Amino acid sequence: MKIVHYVNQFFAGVGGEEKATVGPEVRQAPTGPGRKLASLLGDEHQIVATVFCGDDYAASNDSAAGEILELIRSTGAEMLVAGPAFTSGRYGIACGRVAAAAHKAGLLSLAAMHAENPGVAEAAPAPVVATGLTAREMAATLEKVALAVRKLASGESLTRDDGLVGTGARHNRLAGSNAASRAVDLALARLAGDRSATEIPMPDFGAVTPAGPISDPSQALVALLTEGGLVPMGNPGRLESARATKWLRYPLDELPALEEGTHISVHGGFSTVIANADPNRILPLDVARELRDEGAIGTIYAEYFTTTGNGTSVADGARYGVEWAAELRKQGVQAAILTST
Amino acid sequence: MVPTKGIPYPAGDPALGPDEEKAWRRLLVQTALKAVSTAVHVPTVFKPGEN
Amino acid sequence: MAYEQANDGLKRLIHKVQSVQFGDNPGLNNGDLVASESQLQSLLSSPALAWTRLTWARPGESVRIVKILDSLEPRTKGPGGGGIFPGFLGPALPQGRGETHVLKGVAVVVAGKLPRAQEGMVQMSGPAAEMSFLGSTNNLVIEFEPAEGAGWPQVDEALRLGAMKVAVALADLALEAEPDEVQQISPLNPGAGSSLPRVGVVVNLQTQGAFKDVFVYGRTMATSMPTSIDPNELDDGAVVSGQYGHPGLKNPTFVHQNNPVVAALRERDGQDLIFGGVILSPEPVDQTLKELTSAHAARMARQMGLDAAVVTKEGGGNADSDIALKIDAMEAMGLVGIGIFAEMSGPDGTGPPVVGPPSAATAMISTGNYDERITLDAVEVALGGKVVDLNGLEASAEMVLPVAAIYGSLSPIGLGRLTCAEEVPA
Repeated sequence: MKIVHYVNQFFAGVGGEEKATVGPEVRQAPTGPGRKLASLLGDEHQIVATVFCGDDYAASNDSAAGEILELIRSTGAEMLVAGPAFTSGRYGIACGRVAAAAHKAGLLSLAAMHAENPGVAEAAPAPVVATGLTAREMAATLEKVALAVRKLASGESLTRDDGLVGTGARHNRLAGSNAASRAVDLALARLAGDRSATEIPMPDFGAVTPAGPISDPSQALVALLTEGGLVPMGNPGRLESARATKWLRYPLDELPALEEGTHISVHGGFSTVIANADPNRILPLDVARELRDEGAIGTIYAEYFTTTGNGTSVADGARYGVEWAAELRKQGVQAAILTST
Repeated sequence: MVPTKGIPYPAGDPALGPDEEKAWRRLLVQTALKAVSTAVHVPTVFKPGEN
Repeated sequence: MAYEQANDGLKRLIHKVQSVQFGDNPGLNNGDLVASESQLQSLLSSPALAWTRLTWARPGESVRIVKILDSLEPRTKGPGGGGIFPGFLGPALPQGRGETHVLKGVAVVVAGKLPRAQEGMVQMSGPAAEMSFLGSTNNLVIEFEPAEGAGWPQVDEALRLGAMKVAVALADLALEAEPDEVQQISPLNPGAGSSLPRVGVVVNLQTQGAFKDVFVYGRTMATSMPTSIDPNELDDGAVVSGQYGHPGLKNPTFVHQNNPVVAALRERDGQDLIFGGVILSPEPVDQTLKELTSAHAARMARQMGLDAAVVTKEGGGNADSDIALKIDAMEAMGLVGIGIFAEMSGPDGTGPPVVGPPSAATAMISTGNYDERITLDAVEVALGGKVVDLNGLEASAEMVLPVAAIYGSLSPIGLGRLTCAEEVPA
């Protein structure tokens, strides 16, 4: 079977963080970890091309997955392998999105990353096999990936034994009795000693490696962010009051503080009367400026990012988080204060 | 993470007078600056005004 | 006290309504309900309302009701209500005793625009109809226009009182009719010495300020600590909803009148459990108060001698934490706490189902995935508004929506049969 391999700019040998903004490109040969994977797959399956893209570009452009998919299709491959991305968040998200897009386009697809990488949630319905934490475990990981490739290529589905991670898709259906009756049944079952009975498995939110500390806030570029639905009066970007489908950015420039009437919260999950009377209650610009003037903060980033955190799915929330982090990193921001409503 | 007073006003507290409220907000941001200057490895709560 | 001794329970006189219409000879005969439109209109008259319009929406009709606010079941204890909806239409005194006439198969539905209200709708025919409890009732829809200069709180108040009066007036038509069924319900008296487990229910009420508030005996529950009431009081309208957020995840007055956990516990009382009681609790916005009310509710449950409690909620992810805190607090005291949650796992069902899950009390019931999409067929008639605010489409158009937009679809008080499960790979 002809395989195309997706990697980020680092594993393609293009460069590190300074090359994270490069767009997608294709090479007609296995590259980086793809060479080892190719040798593990032997003659039966060939890696005919490598598609790579910078992490920032891939994780923070809505169009990136589509552009990468075009390149994947141009190679004529029948199967995509993305990663392994280990615990790298942006790379994992990119692998997840590319695998999902390729799967939907009819290619056999497989992504590889750590079980707690936020990209796992992006890959569905394409399968993801779990890897170790870092590239130090590359050799063992590639052997696992090679086994998964052979199994998928033979028409079989992966199982937990193959390292398959992520929950399957959950779908609505009608139960035989109403939720109240089922809740009473469940209470009696738990009283009788069944501690595992539940209709909802405990979710696994994954883990994010915290960024290192900044050495000196008085020299730092600091951003103010909120999920409190704060927008300029009139809501020019039409931010939703619930289940937001986007995040927006608005200038702070040299505004000394937010004022009643210049900014409002469109959040639908709480009464915004108190916030709108003084929007600094949502985004603490007034005191941040004071602290900047006194030298406790170096510079305040000239825009704020906003979305509405109300009925937002974890998948969307994680995506906004990754996009914010990528964008802030690109702008040289070292620390951010995000208010949560 | 810095815990605050309530969902509708993460950086305020309408129960306080204007000056006290601003002092509270300032304390929250100062605590946030302390948090981003501190190495952490797991989810960590920085209570306003405490180390 | 003599007052308490006089309480020998509640007799529910059930009238099953088969057809509904307006007419000049109001009454209920053999299940055919005829109501006077002008008499009902007069009950809605208020300085806060420019006009109101009444329309019947019947099961099977090509009708969609949009912008639904509250809905109520017609009930009465005597002409003019006889004390039903205590604190609003009757004195704020404990109810849940004597006789209550119930019109089954009918609902009074208020539909239109209020601040902070989130768009919720019901389809009266097609597959979407079964997603809402209002899809199978004969609905008297009240549409309205606020009077010029009227404040929104006054509009809200006028609609709430008007809808209650209309519901009572419909039920009053049954006062002389022979009931189809008589149900005698004893006042709660959890037997001592029984070896059966004592199971109760904690009903969380979403109390987040104006237009997102719930009333108990006519007062907002927002500033209250958890309290215990007799379940029969719920039948007589002790809890009234003024909560217009989260259409799929709300508990309208109709649902409090027919609390499904209470119904399940009554049905099994004395068989495999003892119905141990009802606790009402606010859902505060302040984290400290969330923790306080949760600890207090758990302590009440223990003092009531409960072995287990089902905890219900109203609202989205924020309300999940009210359940999680309560059932965890119960587990910490050695009680079993069961939470009823709706899942929020994204349109394709692949995200984590619950944003703020409990840590110790891991037994959860699912009322379905909020984000899954559903297609509503186009209809001939739309009531409640001309445009659907969620998508800007004409209110009668075909549209694809999250299940969350269907009124009562994910009932987190447990009314519906919807649930969610992982797709098993073939």
